[in-house]
Parts: sequence; C-alpha cells; structure tokens
Amino acid sequence: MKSRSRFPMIYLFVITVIMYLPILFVMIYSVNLSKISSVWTGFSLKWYRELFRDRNVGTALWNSLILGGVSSLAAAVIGTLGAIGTVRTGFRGKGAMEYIATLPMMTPEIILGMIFLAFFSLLGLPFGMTTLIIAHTAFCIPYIFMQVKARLAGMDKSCEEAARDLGAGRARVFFDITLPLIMPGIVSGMLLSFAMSFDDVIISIFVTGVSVNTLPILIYTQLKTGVTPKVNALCTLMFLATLLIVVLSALIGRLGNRKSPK
Amino acid sequence: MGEPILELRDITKSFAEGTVLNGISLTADRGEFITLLGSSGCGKTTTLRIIAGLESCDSGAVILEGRDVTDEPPERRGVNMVFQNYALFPHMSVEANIGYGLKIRRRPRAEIRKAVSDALEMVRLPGYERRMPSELSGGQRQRVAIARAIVNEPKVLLLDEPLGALDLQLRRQMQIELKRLQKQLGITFIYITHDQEEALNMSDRIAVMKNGVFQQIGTPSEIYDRPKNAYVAQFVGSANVLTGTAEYADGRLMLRRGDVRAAVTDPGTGIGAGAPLHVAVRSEYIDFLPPGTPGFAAVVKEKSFAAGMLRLALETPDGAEIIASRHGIDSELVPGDAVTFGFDAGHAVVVEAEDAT
Amino acid sequence: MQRERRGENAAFLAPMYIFTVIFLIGPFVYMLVLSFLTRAETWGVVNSFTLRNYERILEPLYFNTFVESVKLAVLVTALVALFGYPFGYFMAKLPPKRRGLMLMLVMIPFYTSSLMRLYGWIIVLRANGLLDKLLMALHITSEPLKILYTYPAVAVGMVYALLPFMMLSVYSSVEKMDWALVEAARDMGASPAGAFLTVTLPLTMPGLMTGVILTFVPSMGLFFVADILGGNKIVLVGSLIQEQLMKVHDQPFAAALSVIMMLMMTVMIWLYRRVTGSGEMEGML
Repeated sequence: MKSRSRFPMIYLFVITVIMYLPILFVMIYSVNLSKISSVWTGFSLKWYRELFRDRNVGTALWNSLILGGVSSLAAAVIGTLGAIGTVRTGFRGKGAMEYIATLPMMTPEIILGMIFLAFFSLLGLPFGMTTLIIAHTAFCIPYIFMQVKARLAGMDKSCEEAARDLGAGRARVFFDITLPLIMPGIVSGMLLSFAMSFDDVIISIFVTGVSVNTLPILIYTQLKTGVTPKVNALCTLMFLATLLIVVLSALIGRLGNRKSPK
Repeated sequence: MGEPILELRDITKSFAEGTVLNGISLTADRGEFITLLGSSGCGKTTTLRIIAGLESCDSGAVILEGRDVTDEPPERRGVNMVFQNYALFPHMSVEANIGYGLKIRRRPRAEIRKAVSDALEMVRLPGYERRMPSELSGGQRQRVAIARAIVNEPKVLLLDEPLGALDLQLRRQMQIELKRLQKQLGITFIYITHDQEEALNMSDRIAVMKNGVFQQIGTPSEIYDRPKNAYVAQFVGSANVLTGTAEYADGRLMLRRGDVRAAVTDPGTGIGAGAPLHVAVRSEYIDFLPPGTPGFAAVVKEKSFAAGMLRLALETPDGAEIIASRHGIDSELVPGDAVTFGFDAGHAVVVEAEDAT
Repeated sequence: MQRERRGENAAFLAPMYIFTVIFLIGPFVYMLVLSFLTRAETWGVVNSFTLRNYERILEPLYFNTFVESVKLAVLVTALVALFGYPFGYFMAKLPPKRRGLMLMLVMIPFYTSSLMRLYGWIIVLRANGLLDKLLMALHITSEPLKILYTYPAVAVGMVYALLPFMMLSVYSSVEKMDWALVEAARDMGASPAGAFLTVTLPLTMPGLMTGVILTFVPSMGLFFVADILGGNKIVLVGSLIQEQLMKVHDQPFAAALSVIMMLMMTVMIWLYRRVTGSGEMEGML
C-alpha cells in the first residue's frame, strides 16, 4: 500500500494554500498605505490606528465579547450537565432529546435565524442582547454537549466508584473526580463555542435589534455599503483571535488526553 | 475458627440480562484470605461489588462486624476495593491518590503524609509520592492501588482480579507479596480470580463459583483433593470425570462402565447400587495398563506437550474424552493406538453431578 | 443507589431539557404553525389557516428561484465532494504528527466566519483585481474578466465556504477505517482502484454523506455569499427568506420556505440513517 507518489502531499499543500490565500490577502492589504486595495503603496499601520479610534468598532467588539462569553458559559453549564445526565440515565426519551438538542449543528443557519426571529417576536422579547444570547447559547450547546459526552465515554467509570469506595460522598466524587476529568472537554468546547459565537453573522443578523451591533454584523454592513481598508484590519484581527482560540482549544484537548493513562 | 467479620446472607441479584446471584451465603473471619474462584460471568465480581456497596442486591443481607450494611452507601462501609484496572485517579499524583481516603476523613496533613509514605514502603515503592499514574508501569500502578486501599485500614479488603493484567512472572512475584502483606496487616482479603493456581497458592479458603452459586467452599486441599462435584473437580484440578453406575463388591464402592469396573474412594455418600456414579480422576493419575489386563479401553486421539508434560487425549468407546498426562516427553504412543487404562482407587474421588442451576 | 440516582439525573438533565423544549422545539413547532397562517395587512400575522404560503412557492418567480438554488446546490456539493474527499482522505493517511497540524489548519477556517474568508475573494475576483492582473500579466487574457458578481464567483465562494465541513467529515471516516481490509482486498486480487471502489469508498460513505448533508441544503441558505460575491444577480432560497423577513416582513411565507428546506434536510438525514444504520453523524466536532 505504500505509494511513492508525491501527489497527496502536493494536493494537500495546494488546497491549503488556496484556502488561506484570501485570508492572507486581507492581512496584507490591512497594512497597505493605499486606500485602493489592489495597489500596494507601502507598509502602514494607519488603518489599525483608525480602527481603534472608531467608536462603533469599540462598542461592537464589546458586544461580541459579552455575547461570546455569556453564551459559551451558559452553554457550558447546560451542555455539561446535560451530557452527564444523558450518559448516566436510562431514560427512554433521551435519544430523541439528544437529537433535538444537537439539531442546531445540522440545521442551516438561515433556518435557525428565521425560527428564532419568528419565535422571539411571538414571545414579544425585545430584540437585542438577550435574544442574541439565547440564540447563540442554543447553537453552542451541541458543541459542548458532544465534547463532554465524548470525554465521559472515554472516562474510566471505576474512578468514580473508587472514590466512593474510599469514602467520598456523591457530591464530593463529582467535584474531586468527574469534573476535573471532563474539564479539558468543557474548556475546549467553550473555546470553540466562543469562536462560533464571535464569528457568527447569519443568526445574529436576524435576532439582533437596531441598537446592538456585533463585529461580524459591522463587517457585513460595511461590505455591503462599501469597503474601507479598516475592514481589512478588523478582519485580520478577528482571524488572529479565532486562530488563537482554535490552537488553544486543541492544546488543551491534547493536554487532557495525555493525562489519562489510556 | 476466629471471629466472623463479614457475612453474606442468601444474596440474590438479577440484571435485565438474567439472574447473576442465586442465593449465596458466606462467612469470612478476621484476617482470613478468601478467594472467589470461577470463570468469567459466574457472578464473582457482582458479589464483590455488593460487598463494597457499588451494587445493590435484590434480597439478602451484607453484615459487617455484626452490623447490617445492606442499605449503606459505599462510602460508609469501611471496606475498600482494589479495582481490576486499578482505577487510579489520572489527574492526581501517587501521594494524592493514596491519601485521598484519609483526606476525606479530614485527617491532619502531617498524618496523611506519614501514612502515605508508610503505605508506599509497605508496597515497596518508597519515594514515589510525586509521580503521576501515567508515569508508572503496570506493576507499579497495581502497588499504588493496593496502597491506596490499605492505607485506610479497611475491615475487609476486596480485590477484583488485581493481577489479571500483569505478565506471568510479575504475577508470581505479586502473589507472594500480597500474601505477605495480608499476613502483616491481618486484614481480611476477599480476592477474585479465575486462575485456580493463584487461588490454591494464596487462599485460606476458596469459594468456587458457577452460575451465581457457590459450588463448594473449603480450604485449598479440601477443594483440590475432595471436590464436591464434577464442576469443581474439572475447574480446580483439571480432573477427568468418569460416569458410570455404582456397584458394591466386598463392601467397596466400584465404578462400572460397560463390562469393566474399578474401585473408587467412597467419602461416605451412601450411594445405592445401580445409581449413576461420577468419579473424578486427575490426569496424572490415569495409568496405562499392559495389554490383556482388565481395564477401560480407549484410543489415543491427540498427543501434545505443555509445560514439560506430555498430554494424551484419549477417547473411550462411548465417546468420553479422558486426558492423561506424564512428566517427561517420551512415549511410544501415537494417535490411533488402542490403550487400556485404569486408576488407583485412592485417587478416584466420587463427586456429585454438576449442578443443574 | 438507584433511587438517589434518578433524582440527581433529573437535576442534571433539567436545564438542557427545559432550554431545548422552550428555545428549540418551541421555535421549530412555531415555524411549522406559522407557515399555515396568514400575513396581516400591515404587520405581523393573523391566526387563520391557509395553504397560500405553500402555493406561492409554486408561482414561477419563486419556483424558479428554488430550482436555480437547487441546481447551484448540486453543483456546489459536487465540487465540494470532488475537492474535499481527496483532501480528507490524504489528510487521514498522513503520519500522526503532520496529521495534527493539518487538522488544525482545517479547523481554523472551519471556525472562522465564512464572511471574513469570503471577503478575501472580493479582492481576488474583482475587476482589475488580483486574478485579472495575474491572468493579464501571464498574457492568458487581454482584458479583465470581471468575475466578481457573476455565477461562477458565487459558486467559488460557496465551495470555499463549505469545503471544511466535507474535509473534516471525510477525514474522521477515513481515520477510523481498518486498513487491513483494503490490504485483504488487494491480497484477494483487487486492483488499487477496485479496492478503493469496493472497500474504501463504502466504508467511508458515512463521512462523505455527512459532508453532503452539511453542504447541500445549507448552500441554499448562504444568502450573504450571493449578496457579496453575486451582487443582486443570483437569488437563493436563503436570500428569499432573508428578504421576506427583513424587508417585506412576511413571516408566514418565510416560514413556509424554511419548512421546505428543513424537510429536504430531514429527508437527507433520514437517508443517512437508513444507509449507515447509525444516528451519529461523522466528525461533527
């Protein structure tokens, strides 16, 4: 089966380059002096300076951070407890509930946006941060749920039993054994959720109010109305933030794997 | 015997897949080493988990030091368990693992430290406090798991096939060490294994288990020399069980098969003449008789060598398989040869038929 | 122990079940109900049953949009499978160290907003942009192609946006595969291509199908791709839904369109379960 062909490596390389090329262009033009993005006139950080001076960007950044932070935290609590309960219970309807809870992963974003918009207006909820948080929590839960469930499945059940055998009560076992062992799953799930929330456009557009802008919404409006090189700078920063989060999440996930003896 | 510390009273347990324990009773004395011996699925692990409180029983009672603990949760029983796969907490150091039970009981830090280092001394791993479980070999993990249990000075220590994952040499070594530890600590050990050699080597008493029932409880020599039934004879002594009808001649019990009969040892079963009779004879006591002597006829089916022994598989005309073994490897017999065999009455033990349950 | 467990499990499950019932089952059921209601004259909905919303989908204007959108989805899915399958396959066959790095390289765009990633394509595709300059410099074309705001631009953008889903799901399928089976097939005389078609492809079908599921229907909803790379020329079902919701404020019609999309999705998931006999989707993380 050992093929000497270099084709696979070349293929992977070429596709990866194409995948990153557009992002690279955005980054290059973010430090371009010229206002016209197809002409290179020299290195400059002026667009970043302008970006940081922009009040709207500051507010949108703040909104995005709050939104990502709160919804990934809420999803972490709900998803983690749900995963533990699901693994332990023999409840009959759990298969169906699991399917529905992870449905947002498979539902096209536009449909999620549509149903949240319609449902929130039915409930009369004021569109803004609250509705954003609910919607984002909904699509973050599956990521945490799946991560923690996988961790629990890989966990040695006898560890919990051993702790009880050594005199720990049920609550103590949870905090001493279960929680530390699934923590890498929770943290990496939370980081990924944050990244999803931080970059989400479609659902956010539907469920936000007129007053609350997030960074992706800001970028979308700018792209539609006319691009200033500031968008290059903003996209670059957001990409770097995502990159950092994904790398961090992978590192934490691997750390947890190395610790378990299997 | 000594003072009883653990008593199981008529315990039954069923899972969705069926009955696992069918009314088992057992009394263990202080300082006794009891082995539950049986093949996988016989209910031995479930028994251990019921003693530990990790599993509830459907009926019956678990009595510890005279106190009924049947409904007590595991953390309040004062017994500890060494798990089959060790179940060391992967996120805690060796010291934290061993000290966990004491920490829960809110012992002072200095005392825990001392107890942990003593326990490590006892399992011959001094100075391993700072290691993580992932940095230990299988044998070392095993020792830490034992240290973690004995540091709490349990009334009863439960060991679920603790040597199952170790290679043969390490197993032998750990058997000796476990026995030494048990004598030193004077703690009652309830030990699970499917390895009859291990059970015979280590135990004060062995409970042979099958289908959720104790087939026989007794000392190793009782189990080995006077198996109660065919299953025990086959499982513990790898004995042949010959079936025939009972006959008496000169007041002695005889086994009749076809037109041949042979004297057997009668433990006083009072079996009536003509009744079916089962006799256990271990493979090394099957004797080959010179042609022409009265004896049981058989044909050599297979010839193999194992552990310095020659092993001959014979088949009798009625289809029963008999194993004969000899020290050394020289034998002129080859598959297809017709042989006549017999046995010394002193090595032929009457056993009950295998339990139907 | 059984009894105390039950109460505790209920406490663990309660938050997720309550949230799911209110904020997922609720909205999905309301979407279904809404699609049979009548739009109010000015704003909101009237509680009277109608099939009008579904009938409207059959009107030529909307029906054409649907057909065009499906056609584009077929094209995009085919391209995504064509480029993504070999990528996931080769990636899974890399030595473990490189595999981890490669996986990370795919995860990063997966979690980056496709909006931002698409923005780069504007720079590349716009008239007199990088592509035009490159092609003209190489004397392949003599004048700007003006690809931006055309059908191919939208197709390229969608393929680009959805490719990571296919790569990851194929990867996780191939990674799990038992290569001894392929060797056995070769041993019994199958050619490399034969072994691939008879062993590898069927065994990695769950990954491929998951990739298709995550590409096909979602591609019909990527209205912002059509927006940004297609100008106003290409209208997707997603664009219709967005327009009905945000501009025309016709929620019932948007709901009916969504129901149809959701039905297509459900049918595909059902097919997946029938074919693979498993509920778990491949490589969902």
